[in-house]
Amino acid sequence: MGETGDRWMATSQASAAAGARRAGAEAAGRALAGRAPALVVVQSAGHLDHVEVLAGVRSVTGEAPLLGGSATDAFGAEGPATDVVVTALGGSGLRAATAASSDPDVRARGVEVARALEHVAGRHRLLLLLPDGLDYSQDQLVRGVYDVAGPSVPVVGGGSSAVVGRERTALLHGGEVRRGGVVAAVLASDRPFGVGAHHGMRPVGDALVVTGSTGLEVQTLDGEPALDAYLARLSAPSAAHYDASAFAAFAQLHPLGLARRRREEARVVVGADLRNRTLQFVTPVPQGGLVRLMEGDTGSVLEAARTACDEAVGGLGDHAPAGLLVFSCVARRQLLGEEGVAAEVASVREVGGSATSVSHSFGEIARTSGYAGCHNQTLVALAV
Amino acid sequence: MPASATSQAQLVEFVAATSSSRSEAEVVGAAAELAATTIDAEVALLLDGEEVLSSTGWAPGADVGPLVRALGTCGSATVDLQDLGPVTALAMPVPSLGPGGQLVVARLDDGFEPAERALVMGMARLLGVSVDAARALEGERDARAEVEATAGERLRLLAALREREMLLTTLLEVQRAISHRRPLEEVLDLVARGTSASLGDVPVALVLQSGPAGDRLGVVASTHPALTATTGDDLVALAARAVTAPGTSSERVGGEVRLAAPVHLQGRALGALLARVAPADVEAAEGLLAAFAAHASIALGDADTAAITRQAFYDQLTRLPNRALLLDRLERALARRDATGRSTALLFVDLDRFKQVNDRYGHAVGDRVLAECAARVEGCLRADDTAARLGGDEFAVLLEDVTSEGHAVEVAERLVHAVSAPLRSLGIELGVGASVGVALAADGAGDAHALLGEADLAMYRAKAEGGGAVVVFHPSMHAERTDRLALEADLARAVDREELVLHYQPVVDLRDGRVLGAEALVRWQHPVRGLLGPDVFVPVAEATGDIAAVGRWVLREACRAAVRWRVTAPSATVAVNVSPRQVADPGFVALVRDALRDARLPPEALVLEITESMLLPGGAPVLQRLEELAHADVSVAVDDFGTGYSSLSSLRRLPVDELKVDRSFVRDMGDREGLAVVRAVLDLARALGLRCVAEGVEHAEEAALLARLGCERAQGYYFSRPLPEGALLEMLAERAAAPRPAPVPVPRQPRRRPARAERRDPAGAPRG
Repeated sequence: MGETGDRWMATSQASAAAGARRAGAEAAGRALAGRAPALVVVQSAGHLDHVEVLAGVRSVTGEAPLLGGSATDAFGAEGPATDVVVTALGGSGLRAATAASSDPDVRARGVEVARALEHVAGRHRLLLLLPDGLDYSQDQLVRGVYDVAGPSVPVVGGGSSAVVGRERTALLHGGEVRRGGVVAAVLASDRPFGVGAHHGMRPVGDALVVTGSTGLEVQTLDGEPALDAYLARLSAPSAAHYDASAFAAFAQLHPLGLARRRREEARVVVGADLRNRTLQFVTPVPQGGLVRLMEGDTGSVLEAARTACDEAVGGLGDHAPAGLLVFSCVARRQLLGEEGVAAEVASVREVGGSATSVSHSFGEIARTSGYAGCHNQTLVALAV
Repeated sequence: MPASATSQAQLVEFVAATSSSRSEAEVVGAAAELAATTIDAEVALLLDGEEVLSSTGWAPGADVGPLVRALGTCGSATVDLQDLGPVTALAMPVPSLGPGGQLVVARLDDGFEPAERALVMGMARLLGVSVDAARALEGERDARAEVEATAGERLRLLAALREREMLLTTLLEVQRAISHRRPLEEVLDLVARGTSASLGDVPVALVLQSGPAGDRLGVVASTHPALTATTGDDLVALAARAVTAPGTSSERVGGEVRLAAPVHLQGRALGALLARVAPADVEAAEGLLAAFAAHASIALGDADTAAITRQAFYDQLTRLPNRALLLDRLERALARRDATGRSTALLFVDLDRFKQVNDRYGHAVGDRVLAECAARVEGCLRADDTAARLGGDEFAVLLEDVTSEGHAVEVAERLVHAVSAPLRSLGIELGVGASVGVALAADGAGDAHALLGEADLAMYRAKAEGGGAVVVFHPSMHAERTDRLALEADLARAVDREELVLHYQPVVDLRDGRVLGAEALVRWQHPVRGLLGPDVFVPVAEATGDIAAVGRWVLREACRAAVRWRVTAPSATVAVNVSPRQVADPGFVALVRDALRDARLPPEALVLEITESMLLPGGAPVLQRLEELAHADVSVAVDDFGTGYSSLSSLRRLPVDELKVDRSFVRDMGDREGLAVVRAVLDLARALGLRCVAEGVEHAEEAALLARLGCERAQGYYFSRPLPEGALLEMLAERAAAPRPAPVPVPRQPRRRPARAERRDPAGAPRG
């Protein structure tokens, strides 16, 4: 647990070997340690009965504001990934309220949850967004939030994840398990929050012009069929040209970088239409844009993780961090491998201490300046 | 990436996004958000005076008055806003929205760089264009709802739509030119042409500072050079005036209006984009002109681009245009095609034997050969055609005006002929020859890179046919090529991944059915495609050079296998096929020795099968190798004997031990002539003291016939198909353990190894 002044944050984890409900109760019990939290965040492995997990957690936390979601992997204060991770924060000067929306219009969802800001005042406010990771319109969600929250409220979050094809994603809000939509929390504090986001990929080679794109599907790059241009420039192995799963594995290591003001933003290629030779994304790649191929290695990716955490802590100004809430893109696992993933978590723990939670997400959100806030292949850290 | 490079991209993205809007309301409604995304600013507003038409990052209902007043007429300000604190704001007018129309962007923490200011200006202008286009669309819809649209209105609508579409296309084109680092002059030329096209093909000129000290203004790009020549000074003067004016300026000359929009670099105006338009078009043209001028500004602003893009357009060695210039000309040619029934053709020319010449005579001669070939290629072409050197020994020829495919093929054949002629001037008797791929631009379609790719694929096929061929592209070649590339990539790793496997076809003694040994045949257990035979991948390996690794593996594995068999059958031999390329390698004999030694296989257990073509004069320098192999006690067999036209005298001279009668002769034994041929070969072998193995025996009759003719050894499906090692071992166990009675009585021949007795030590002394 981390404590600075009377601000506290604690993370605990539990295995569900003896039952989901028990795991929830155990993790919550240790995280709260008898205190009243301002906010509880729960990550629950995709294969669990989330209703049971939630019941276990709430048996300890009562009616305290709660939100969370499913995660392929979540790490608490120590050890490898576990089934249930509960993070609790509290202390005077910290207030929170949660909201949820399943409006079919994604932008309207953002507007709806951002209205929670009306209920919580404070000198520094932040919106924590946990959308359904399989909903590919996170950029619209962030815009909706921005419509209400404006530039002075930073937005942070990560999409709920699950093992695709075997598990369903889920979101948790209060005592409810929800499928689809978004859950959010407004955090208000008398101290600033710190946010950092980095991916660690580097652009290589010449830029390509996105000559044909509908946003989430890119048809042509430099006038050539996008898939072929992409594979040719990367000298991809033969299997990636015609086998969907080989392509997917390859593509996770080679996102595109969209030229933006400050840096290249990573855009993960999530799939390809092998017949029409197009590339598919979860965050838009606009027509007319300039993209470059990106590459990274364990070193650069781990360094980025560290930088993001340091940046987040730096944002706290003179205050020491009570803890770190970190979202790391599932796509990073492919590049890092098991050892790398463990190293990433260790690095985060070095910065955040024992009150750190790392969960793997589908898509990350971090908007602290400028207009855009959706990230791929990134590690986003929130320091409290 | 430099700010200006990103800004160019952003502007094009902005245009692309606004192009899809269908109504003025849609354009206006999305404008602020698009602007904020494009420039990455927290706040964006589209204003008409103090009315907020659309906004983002701005609290609804908040008062814009202080912001508007602070921006005033100069268009930029740092303002302390109530909820947000201090912001840096930038505003650019959007006249289409009225006199108070402006686009405002603001950042909380950062200012705006000069390239970004140009970007905002561009966005504002393009917004105006989009609004106009959208209005024209709506007007058309309304007009149609009421009355039949007149031709004039329709034209106006079409013009507006075409303008917008062309704008996007042109900007994408400029964008690509910039990102491909085309010379700056070319980029500016594109901007001028794009402006002209978007304004209805009016004369456009770009006047910039030039001269060593940048102290003069001069025309750097013009769409109508003749015009520029006569009015050049006037244009320069207009540009000079425009440079000091804040926005677009115009002056009336006779019945026309000359417009000038300043072009900036690092915030300083250093020239202008000029256009000559009819008075009625001035309003529409001003916006577009300013947008293109902004784009030109951004292009200029990338100092790195300017420096790096000073590339030569011509290949230094051959003085031919290089790839960049070829592609440029090809793109222009494709764009210029119209419905005259004439087409554009691209020939991809690859010299056939250049590498051999280069390796044999050295690079200095190689360079002169390239230059000579380049000159010969050019000599076959008309004045309007372009020959280019793409690199290495690859050339391309652009035929801008061909009447038919046959015409292009004819030119290609002429080229091949010219390049195949001996290079006597360089003292080389042979010509290098060429393979040519031909691709014609299909009607309507016209992508330079695609066409080049198609010609390349066709050339590839021409090469595969052995060189000297002309092949016309066919769409199926794409799939072939992809497949081939995939195979090549996989093959490169096949040895390391242990995907190669040997199967063995037994060689039997026709007299008693004993298995004497086996021929090793390589297969590739491809993880996806299954078991592939050598006919599929050996040609690929020869082309990529992987044959060396494959051949090495086969040789070593075969030796190891033979050692295993000889436990059961102590005198069994293994035969391995080797290619001319392998034999020609100076390290070949050492490789064979090492394989034998590492496997602990006695040399007489190994038979190397070479093709008959290697015995021909002008074939690989094989004599020395064969002698070295003979000296090492390794047997050599001539495979597919009878098909290669070797001379009898060479056969006598060369240290070979065995002839393998080609399967086609065995198959044809059914008729009298065929039988006579086989008998002749067998007699020849006997006369020269060589072993003889008949290949491809498939029926009992053939086996019986061969035995009667005195042939002692044979292999073929009749005895066994090629077997995995396990099955071969079983067969050896059976056949070695219990020698069977002879299937057919055969007159016994005295066995000797005369080749060995006649072998000479390479040093010259005969061996006993």
